[in-house]
Amino acid sequence: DRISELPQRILQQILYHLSQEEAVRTSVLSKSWRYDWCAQEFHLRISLDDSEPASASLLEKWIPTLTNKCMKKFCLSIRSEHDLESIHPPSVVFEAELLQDLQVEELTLDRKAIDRIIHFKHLKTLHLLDFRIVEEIFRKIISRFPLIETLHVEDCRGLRKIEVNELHCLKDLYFIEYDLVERDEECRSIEVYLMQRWRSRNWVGPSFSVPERRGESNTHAVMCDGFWRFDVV
Amino acid sequence: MAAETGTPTTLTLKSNDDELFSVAESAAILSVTIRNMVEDGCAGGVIPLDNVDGKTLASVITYMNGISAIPADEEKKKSYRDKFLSDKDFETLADMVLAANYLNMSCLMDAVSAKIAQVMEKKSVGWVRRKFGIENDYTPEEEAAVKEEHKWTFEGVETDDDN
Repeated sequence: DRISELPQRILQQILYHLSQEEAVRTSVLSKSWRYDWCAQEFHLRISLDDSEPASASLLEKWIPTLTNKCMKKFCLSIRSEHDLESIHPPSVVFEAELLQDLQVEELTLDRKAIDRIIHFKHLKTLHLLDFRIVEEIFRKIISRFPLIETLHVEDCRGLRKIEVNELHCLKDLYFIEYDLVERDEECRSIEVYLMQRWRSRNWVGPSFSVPERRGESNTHAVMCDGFWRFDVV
Repeated sequence: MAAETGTPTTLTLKSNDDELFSVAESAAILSVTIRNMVEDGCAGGVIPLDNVDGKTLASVITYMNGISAIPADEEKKKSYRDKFLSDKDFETLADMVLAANYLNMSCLMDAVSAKIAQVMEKKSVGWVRRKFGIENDYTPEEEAAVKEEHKWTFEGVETDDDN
């Protein structure tokens, strides 16, 4: 039939215009369609809510489906609807090996969570927003994402020091400290450690942004030799 | 490219069934394939387009002329594309998308792909197979297994008798 015989480039363009569910559903059409959808980029945005288990179960359905295939790009954004610090990301998130882009918002990442994190060899962007984390956990999380290129850390309570020396691919570090209005003493001063040996043949250095809040920032960049841009937004 | 001053340049395109078409260079260069030929100075004589038949080429040229007559206004261009494709059947759309791919016309390729996707939207597997003549080469067991794997993507889809 004509549609199945179209070149992959065109079929991919057609699948691109379908919703993600519909693109996956085409795998049932015939054998030649079985894996066509895998070459698409997938973006999942999920709100987790204790009172609504459906969203977590949706995640449990999607992630294994996507992880088994050779996805072109897989991006995930999860957040909790409430400011409840007790909500953990479902463990299935940490099994999504092919994930390239992860955004975590208002969730708790603690020892319980990191025990389950596998090595994310494909993750290039990590965006951590509005959550509580301690330095040790942060360091462990970072170590599981060795190829990270973009790291955004925003409003994270409990984090005083960011060390990114081991992130050899880092190109963009964006950091906004926790709003000090709650007088959380433990994050009065934050130090960001950058490495000196960001020098490879194609070295451009990461860009590093620290937006200044309320005219008074307690953020210091330490060992900032070698970065390409320093923005105080 | 050595554009002559004053008169607009016209190119001659030849389909694979030997039909000749004249088209203004300014419209024809919507095709990156043709634009490259023009820029490399190999568009002087007749440009043979071996992968496009006369009927499809006529349609593509209508599109080239139509869309290049619209000034930079994405809304108007979009509504022109929608109208242009509205009465085309799938066979014609398939010819157009193949031609757009060969001629490297991303805006046409995208518009036709979207139109084909629109036909498949919210339809059952059985309906899509019938519509496009796709032969189901799964055994019933294999099909059930694939469906089971993606079971949840079938939630809320219209079902029909053979599905």
